[in-house]
Amino acid sequence: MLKQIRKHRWDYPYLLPALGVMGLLIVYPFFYTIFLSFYDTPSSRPEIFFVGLDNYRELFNDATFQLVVKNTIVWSVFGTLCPFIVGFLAALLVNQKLRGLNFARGLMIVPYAMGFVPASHAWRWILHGDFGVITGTLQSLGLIKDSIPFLQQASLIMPSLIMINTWKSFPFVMIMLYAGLQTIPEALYKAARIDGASSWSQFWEITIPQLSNVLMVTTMLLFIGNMNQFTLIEIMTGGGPASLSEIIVTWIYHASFQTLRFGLASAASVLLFLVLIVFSIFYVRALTRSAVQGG
Amino acid sequence: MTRKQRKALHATVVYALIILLCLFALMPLLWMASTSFKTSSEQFVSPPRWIPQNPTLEHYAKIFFPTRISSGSFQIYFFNSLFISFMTTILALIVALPASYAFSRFSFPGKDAAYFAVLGRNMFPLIVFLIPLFSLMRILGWINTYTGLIVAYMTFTLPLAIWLLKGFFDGIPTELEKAGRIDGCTRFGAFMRLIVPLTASGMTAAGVNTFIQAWNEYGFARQLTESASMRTIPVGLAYFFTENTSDWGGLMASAFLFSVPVVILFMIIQRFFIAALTQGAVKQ
Repeated sequence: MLKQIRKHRWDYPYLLPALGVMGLLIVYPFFYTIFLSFYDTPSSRPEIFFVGLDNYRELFNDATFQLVVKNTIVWSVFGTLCPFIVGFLAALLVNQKLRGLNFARGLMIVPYAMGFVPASHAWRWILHGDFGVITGTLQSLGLIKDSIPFLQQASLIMPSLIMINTWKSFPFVMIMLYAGLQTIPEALYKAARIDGASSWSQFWEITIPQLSNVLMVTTMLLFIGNMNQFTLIEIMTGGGPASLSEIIVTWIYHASFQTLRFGLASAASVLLFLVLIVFSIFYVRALTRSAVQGG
Repeated sequence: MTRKQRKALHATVVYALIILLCLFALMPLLWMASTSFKTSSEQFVSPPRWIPQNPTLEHYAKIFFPTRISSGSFQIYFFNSLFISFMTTILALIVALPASYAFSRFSFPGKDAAYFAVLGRNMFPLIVFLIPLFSLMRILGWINTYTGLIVAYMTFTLPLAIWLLKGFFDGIPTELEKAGRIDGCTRFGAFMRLIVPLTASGMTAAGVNTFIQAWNEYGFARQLTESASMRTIPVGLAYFFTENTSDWGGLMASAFLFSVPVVILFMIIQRFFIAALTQGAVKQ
């Protein structure tokens, strides 16, 4: 080992700047968060006090935090499922042998290319309860009388946010699955057609198994990205009203910078780290499996 | 149904669904543009109009020719965003270039662990890093400075830049350096003189991507700046509304100006970016 390190000692200087920056900005914060999660950090005083597992206990007993966890699950699961279905459909559509589909693919990437901040403001305006284009159009068609408070009414907040995420994320799914579809050998379908297989069974017996890895990788990336989503929710609703759209990440932000409970927020961060590490292992497994198969 | 009819039906269904999806995809950007050209009263009319009846440039005029330039003007935000994104890009590329080369070419002990740590960053939310970074920046005295924000942006731009550049180095044959070494170059000399010039397109793709990332960032910029004169556009947009109540035209005009360059830039580099994005996940 030491001999290996000596032999390669001139490799390390290339990495030094990157490792220095990463150490300061990623490794140090990571361990500092774990450290801080065992401390009480009163905002009125500069000192911090060791409290053992108190922060964790408080989290588990906090009704709001339980709601936040529930919201996070709903948001991550449906915020993954919906874009996945729409994106898969889009990938299958642009993979047809018809004219003009490259152009359509370019147009459909626009939501993915737009930043979360301007996109969120646009949607805030579109979903505006009184003057939004959706309410206005439905009213003028005579379909509804009252305005629809998409971002205020409890039953509509999460579906609205998930719809926006579907809009923002389906192009990502489309890009990934379209790339996957392109690699399936045409001969497989030809052989199946000769055997008289219907398009339906071709889809389930050729397309899905051939895509299995890219499906897995895409789902994991999307799911992890949703769990980590901050900007969209913060700008659309700020987690409100009454924590109804608060997810763990926005809760951590509000607990740190609004109520100044850095210790408590760090404990929630550590729990989130643990969950994300488990998902990351699945993701890395899917990635390495596809690399091995790719030779 | 004849074979030809079935084909025509198939094409019709495909095109109909594609047009629906395209409308869904483009609707927010179009509505944003439409609102930005409407007078302040027309934006509230019912039924909503997609094409403004009395198109106006008043919202854009307010952005480009404000009655006074204050620390809260779009101009200041624009300059801050441009400067911070540009410097972030330069710094990220300088740091990422040798590192990604080492990850691509060398086989030193600890390489896999280091690369895993670099990519692992993307699995965690940025906001979680904000608490420790905030205290770190306070110790360094970098709160509310360009330096603080540019350095903090390395947290998410560096891993992506390293990952993208490594992909480009992997595509350059090693014979090149070998030939260079035979001609008497040092190893670092071969890297700088033979390899770096070949990665121009890779650098462009990684650079543009880094720029877009920094340009769009919101959480760090919100928390690590304090005065209005340090805000970037995303933060400025968030404050816009508290300062100009229900001026949707102004907000949409600013958001439109902010989005369009990024969407165009992304369209230019999408080929490189999509190739990198899908390379690991798709069997070749």
